[in-house]
Amino acid sequence: MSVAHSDAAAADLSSLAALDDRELARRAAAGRREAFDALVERHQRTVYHLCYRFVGNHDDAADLAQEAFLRAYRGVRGFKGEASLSTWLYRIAVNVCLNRVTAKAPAFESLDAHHDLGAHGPDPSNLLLQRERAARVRAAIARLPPRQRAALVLRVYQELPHAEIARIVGGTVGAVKANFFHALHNLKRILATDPEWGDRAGRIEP
Amino acid sequence: MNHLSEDALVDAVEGSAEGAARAAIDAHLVSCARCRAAVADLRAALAAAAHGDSFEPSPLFWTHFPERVARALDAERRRVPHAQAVRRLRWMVPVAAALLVVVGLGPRLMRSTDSPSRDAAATAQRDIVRPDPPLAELGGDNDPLWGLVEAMAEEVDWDVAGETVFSIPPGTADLAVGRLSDDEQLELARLLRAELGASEQ
Repeated sequence: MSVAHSDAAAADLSSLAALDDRELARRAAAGRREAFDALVERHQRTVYHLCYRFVGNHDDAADLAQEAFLRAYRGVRGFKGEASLSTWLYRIAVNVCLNRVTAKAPAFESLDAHHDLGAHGPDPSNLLLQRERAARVRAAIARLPPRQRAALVLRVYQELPHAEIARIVGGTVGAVKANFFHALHNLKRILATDPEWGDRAGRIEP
Repeated sequence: MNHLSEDALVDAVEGSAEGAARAAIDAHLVSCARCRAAVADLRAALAAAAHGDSFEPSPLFWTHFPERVARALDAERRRVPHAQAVRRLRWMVPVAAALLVVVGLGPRLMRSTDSPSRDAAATAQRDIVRPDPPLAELGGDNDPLWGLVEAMAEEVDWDVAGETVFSIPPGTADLAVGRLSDDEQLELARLLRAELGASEQ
């Protein structure tokens, strides 16, 4: 690629980055692939982390995030802007995850997968403890029924209001709250049966 | 005593109720040990959930992920013509099969239905199970039906068809027609004649 072309591409990306989601979606729907690429770049982290919360391992999360963006691209012409683009993307990603978790039990990442263990922070032993707790919580969340898992992930980690979650998963606010209630109740029950959890992270009575 | 609903318990945990609803929840919790315990349990579970942090991939992953999606989109785009060929075949296959039935059986069915005899259907049935005459008798350069089949067959990408859609064992169409009732066979002959008449116009 020539220097002139490279500069033009960089300028184009820079101008796309200044556009809001709706405009990028409009351009993507009109066939402008670079506009969709900009959307991927903008939302990749939230979509990936949402998927990771569902499946608990990096490889599956990356695959699911990719699948979510592929579906988004196929459906971008149908995005009318009634909801925000992030809500629309969440909806797609949640559906992709729900389909996957009902078809396949998630494979959980071992602590070894976090290869940067000890690279940050002053106390590696504390970090190790935190990672272990996190792994136990993820394993417990993975045992929740899919809809309860969706309610918990979207509420606790994505910090979305119940009404927004209802729009994403399709259902009423009441149903979302009920799923959230049962998710917390079951999470407590699962962790209470884990002997390691009580000793290391504060006991939850069975 | 009535206890708080699941909705209300979630509101109590999150502190999201307002006004009269919040006052009612608070008043109930003062007097109900069971609901207080339930709220405490849910709060503990919520605090536990907060331990479940996500995994942060390397910066390189974020750099490459948009390219990965772009490559997948490109690959999908390359597959689209293949998928379109498959969709074309999906309607062409039954049409081609029907035409093969017409070439093989049509003349005999027509002969049967043209007969005023009440035994026409039975005759057709007997004809169907009789061995087919050699192909040369049915088709050829001057046979318009065979020509139509040939024209359709030319549009089929047989490599694609073989790997994706179908393989019809020899005699399948004959077998299918043989299983039809007399009335169904007569109706099939009528429909095929109408279809061929339309396609020849």
